[in-house]
Amino acid sequence: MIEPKSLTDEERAVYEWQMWVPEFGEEGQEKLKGASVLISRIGGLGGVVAYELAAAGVGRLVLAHAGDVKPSDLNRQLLMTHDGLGKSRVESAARRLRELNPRLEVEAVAENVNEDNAAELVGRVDLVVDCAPLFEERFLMNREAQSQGKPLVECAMYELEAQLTTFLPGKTSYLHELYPEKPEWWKREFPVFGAVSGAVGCMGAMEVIKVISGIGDPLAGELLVFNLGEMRFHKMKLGAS
Amino acid sequence: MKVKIRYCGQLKQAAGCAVEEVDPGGELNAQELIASAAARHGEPLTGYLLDESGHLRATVLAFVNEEQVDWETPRPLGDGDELVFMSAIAGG
Repeated sequence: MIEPKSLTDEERAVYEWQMWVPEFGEEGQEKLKGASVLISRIGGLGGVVAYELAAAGVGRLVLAHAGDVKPSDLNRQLLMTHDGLGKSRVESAARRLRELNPRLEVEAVAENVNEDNAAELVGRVDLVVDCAPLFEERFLMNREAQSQGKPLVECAMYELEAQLTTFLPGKTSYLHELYPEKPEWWKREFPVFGAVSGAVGCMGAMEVIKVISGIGDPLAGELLVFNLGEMRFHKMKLGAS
Repeated sequence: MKVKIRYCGQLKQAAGCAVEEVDPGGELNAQELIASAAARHGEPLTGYLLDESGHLRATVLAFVNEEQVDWETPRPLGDGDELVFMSAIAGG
């Protein structure tokens, strides 16, 4: 249960334009301020989710991502910089987010989600965003989110295509029920443009905002599938017909 | 009867095309059309779509007209229907 937090005058000034959105208002903003979100990982996809949520005024972000910035990250990982090459990804991301929003509470965890930390990381937050490249991590997060009764926004991309859905406790299945096995052919490194990961990252952030604030209709029981090569967008209905 | 088949993600490379229009030459349900698409294309698409028992793999979703197909429930097809195959993908 998210406990809304009252806004300061500075926050009212910063978030004025989004508080004009019908049905969101100051009440919605107070819910975002009171909320905490785990994002794993914060690369091309999760980095954009984190940036949008930091800008929107989510109160606390937990970022989980191991390793240092590499040249091949820089085509899409917008929280990383050329100056940060060889330095911690998660520290670089935390610094960029604090530059954008110094009111944001950031917990930087220099580990990927694994068997040892999944329950504790999911337990720290109200909602999880899954942006990991490996299905082992994705299944772990999904199982934990489901068992702890927490919503999970599932973001994925490949080449010019992307998939997005939102799992809600007690209302929808989670990833391990949708895809009971990991695809043996999936590889951690795959073709993608930053504009594709960024597009699905922005949409994933909007799903988080909707679930926390209660505005709009999250993609519960639906899979948004899009192909930016053809600019084709479809909402697929999940569950046996 | 003509049915459009669309392949997403890595299935596109395995099929060698993103979309195709087929005339099944008679009344086929979605499950039969999936099996016939796999047989027509052969490997590697067959291995991506079907398991050793000839059932749709747990790593692939199939939709007819944007509704998920349950492999155990025969889904009739009509002229102009669209069958979409989608493989599990991740982030990064």
